[in-house]
Amino acid sequence: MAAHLDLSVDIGGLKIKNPIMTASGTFGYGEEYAPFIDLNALGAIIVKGLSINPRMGNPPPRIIETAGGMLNAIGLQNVGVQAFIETKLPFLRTLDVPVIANILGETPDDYQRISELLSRVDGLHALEVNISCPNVSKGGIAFGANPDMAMDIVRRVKAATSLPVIVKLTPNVTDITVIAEAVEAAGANAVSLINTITGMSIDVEKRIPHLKNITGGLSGPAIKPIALRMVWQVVNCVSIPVIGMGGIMDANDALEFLVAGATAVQIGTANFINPQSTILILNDIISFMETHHVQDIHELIGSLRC
Amino acid sequence: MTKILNLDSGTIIENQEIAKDHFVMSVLLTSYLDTALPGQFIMVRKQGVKDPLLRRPLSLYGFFQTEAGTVLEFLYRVLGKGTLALSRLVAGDTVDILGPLGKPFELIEARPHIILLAGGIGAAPLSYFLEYLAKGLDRYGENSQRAEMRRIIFYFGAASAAALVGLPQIQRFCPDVRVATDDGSTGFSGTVTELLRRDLPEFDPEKTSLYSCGPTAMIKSLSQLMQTSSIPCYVSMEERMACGIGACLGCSIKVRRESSGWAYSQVCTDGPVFNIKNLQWE
Repeated sequence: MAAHLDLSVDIGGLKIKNPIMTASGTFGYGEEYAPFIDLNALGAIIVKGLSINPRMGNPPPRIIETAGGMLNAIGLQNVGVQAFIETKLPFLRTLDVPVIANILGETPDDYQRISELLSRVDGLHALEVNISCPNVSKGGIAFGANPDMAMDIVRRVKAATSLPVIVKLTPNVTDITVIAEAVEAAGANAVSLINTITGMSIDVEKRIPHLKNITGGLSGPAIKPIALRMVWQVVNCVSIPVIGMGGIMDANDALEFLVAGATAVQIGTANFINPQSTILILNDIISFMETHHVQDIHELIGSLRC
Repeated sequence: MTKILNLDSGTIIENQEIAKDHFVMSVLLTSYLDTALPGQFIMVRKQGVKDPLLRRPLSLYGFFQTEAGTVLEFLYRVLGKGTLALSRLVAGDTVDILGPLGKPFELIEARPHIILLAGGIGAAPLSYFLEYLAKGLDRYGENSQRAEMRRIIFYFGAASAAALVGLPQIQRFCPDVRVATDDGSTGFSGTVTELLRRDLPEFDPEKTSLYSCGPTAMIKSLSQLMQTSSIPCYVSMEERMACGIGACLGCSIKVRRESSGWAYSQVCTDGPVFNIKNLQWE
């Protein structure tokens, strides 16, 4: 790696050595990828969404591939915050990489309680507030589609923690900038977008939905143009850092988000296809910087000409 | 045994349609691979393409070392666009390989009578297991002390005689193959689990173990049949997968838990081989 290049960025008070993060729900609790990559090379690890109590998740089938993407309706299956602290966090603490907990709840109070619990333990560097999961009956997207609800949750989380707070936004709204401005006003230190786009797929032989949950969240290359457009819109209306994600498969995709104004990016579905995707993308960004004589990643961030 | 996670590429040696919609694919790996056990699977994808997007899990049908390197064999049925794309690959094409993944069939050495029960394409991993047993190997790939005491009975069921794909290979390694077809075109007329039900009194429950792979309906009826039996029974399960390494949580199935009734387990990392008594049916 070229030592003279500066890839470090600041995500609302969280300094990371490069802008490559893992998208929650696609990277397990980090350990799953340890056999494949040097986790310490990442900018940050965002773990699978955590709830107060363990969640079983949705009945199968939970995933189906569609054109240029996949639908999932996992239903936020997770071990719960207590088991995370006891069984998953010790491994993450051994790493030399910032770890961000993604949190979710069925009520605004859940978000507050989980933030309090996670703020009391060592080894976490920021919280990502998930107000955008499309696959659960309570909470999730309902909070992320309503600016007042979104503000209420962000205020409660901010009151409960001194960690930087990233709010993960849903694209399943009429105007994402309204929600972005609302959470910024409520004190969010950064926003990340987009979560998956609600979609559906049908088995015409059986005349049933491919997913037991009927609908699911679409991810993968199919959603990248939409994600990029939304990131660009949000960058132009808030002054807090924006973390871009949605269908990033290679360095060119990641660079598009950075040029559009994202301070960092998250890699999601690409991890499923190649568990080394994050590192390959990072290395190719470094090559791009070398080729284009870019010393500092900030020369690329928001460099869009239009 | 240490867990081996291998991210590699391979060159297709052969990809031949041996029956309608059924292919045998042999892949020469770029790197040497030490072991790949029966019941384990590989995530396969054509290199350099974005569509289909995801890898496809294929169970191992064969594994051997050649002078040119390690060769993996797969017997698969074309079911959707992923397997259709694989079926169109030709010798010389390159594939991405992730694996071997998952838990293999657990051989119980103290039980020398081994029943293998396959439904349709479920014969693929059991055919490899059979070959493995016939070679006298133990669960770690070493020569077994007890191999000579083994008696293997292979039950194979399908819709019709034509759908008994891979039967000649199975007959090569097992003198006692018992066939069932739904349409009665060959062997026992009915399901393979009905055939096993008929034969079950013949087996000593203290000396026998059973391994199975097939459609969910077959596994479900086998589960009912084995409820009253003390023969240990292990089944290889199938679900759609995105990652194969326990991260996406897409391949969940219901498994019994002592504390909370049941919970979802991942077919990729907790399985694909499960004790049939642990499966929770709707």
